[in-house]
Amino acid sequence: MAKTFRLMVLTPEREFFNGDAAYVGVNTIAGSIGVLADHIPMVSALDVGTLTIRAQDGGARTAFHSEGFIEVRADGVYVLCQACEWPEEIDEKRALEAEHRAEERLARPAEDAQVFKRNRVALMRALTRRKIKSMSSINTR
Amino acid sequence: MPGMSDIRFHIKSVKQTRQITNAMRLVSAARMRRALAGIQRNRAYFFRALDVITDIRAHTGETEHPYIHGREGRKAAYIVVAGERGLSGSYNRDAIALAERGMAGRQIARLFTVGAVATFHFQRAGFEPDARFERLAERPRLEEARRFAAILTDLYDGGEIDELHIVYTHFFSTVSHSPRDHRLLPIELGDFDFKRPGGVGVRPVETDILYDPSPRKVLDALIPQLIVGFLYGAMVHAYASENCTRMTAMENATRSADEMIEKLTLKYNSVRQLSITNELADIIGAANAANAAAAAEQAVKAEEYQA
Repeated sequence: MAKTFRLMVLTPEREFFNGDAAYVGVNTIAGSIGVLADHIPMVSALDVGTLTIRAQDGGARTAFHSEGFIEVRADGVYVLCQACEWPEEIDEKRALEAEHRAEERLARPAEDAQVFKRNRVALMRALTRRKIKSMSSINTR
Repeated sequence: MPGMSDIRFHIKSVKQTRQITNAMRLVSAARMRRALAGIQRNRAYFFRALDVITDIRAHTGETEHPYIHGREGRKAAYIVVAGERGLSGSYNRDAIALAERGMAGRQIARLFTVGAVATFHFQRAGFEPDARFERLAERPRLEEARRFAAILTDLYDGGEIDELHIVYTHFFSTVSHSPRDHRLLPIELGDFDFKRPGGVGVRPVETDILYDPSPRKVLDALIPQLIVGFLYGAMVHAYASENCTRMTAMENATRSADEMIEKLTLKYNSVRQLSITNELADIIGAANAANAAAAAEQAVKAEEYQA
């Protein structure tokens, strides 16, 4: 049986997850990483991406995570991000609207690099939300 | 001496006012409880982020970062968080007064207001806010806090402002909340310690942490998030404080109404008693007079008979 560690996923609005996990996967600004028990202490910033939590019995759940950071310590793993949503909580219509909005803005010449970057992140958020939503609906069928 | 119907009318109107103040008290209490739950949840996130930044600083020594080390300039931006409406004791007045004190000594390049009361106050003073965020404190949404934070960091990055302050009312407990002028940019990490709830000390620094890809990159990503987290937290705190002061104010108003009703009822009873006494005195007086007249008549008749 896989060794577990304490995992806490927090957002400013709520405690998203608090419990034992055997594996957690996130997308950091340096690429996607997976953490198992006894990982060395580490801190990294998160990009928008997919949060995967695998429990001791092997059952895995995926969720959406936005920008934030992950902290691996001896006493547990902490994932803090601005927004975290289970697939059933994702509002697909809103994500689609956000996607169109971001695409429209990106099509216009950007005033500066900051604005461009923000629109790109907004597009990533929308795309990732929709991807997670559609993946979960395949799984449940 | 007021008449009975005047007093009756007065009692009725005080009772109606009492109903309103009592309802407002209950509503504020419910809203405050909701905001309190938000504070609890936000606290965990905020202090984690703060701890990580403290860790990074401890590991890398004095990391140079524009968000941590200020610039020479004196251009300031202020965010003033007040309520959407009055009837909340000194809540709005205190926050705005503190903001004005802080603004007085600075060159104000930008002004942002959250809540209609703050907006109207500065408009009346001839100071049009650059952006107004109405109802943001009532139902804080992370999306909006993020958009707001993006505007602010852009201004700072672009050199439009050199420091950023937020004035909001910090909620310590139901009996203690006070307005606070907090500098958000450049961040003073030590400043945040006041918020640490009792018993939650600064945790020991972990040695040998891997920063992926680099401490600087992590710091770059982390500080804007601390600002978003703080903005969101400030809204929740302000809303909890607003409803707490309103609840207290309405509790006092309800109590005064009760006292007034009691006093008026006493007065009504004494006026009513007085009028009954007067009436009785009149009746008895009239009856006595009639009796006396009858007796006198009898006496005259008896005299005539004898004669």
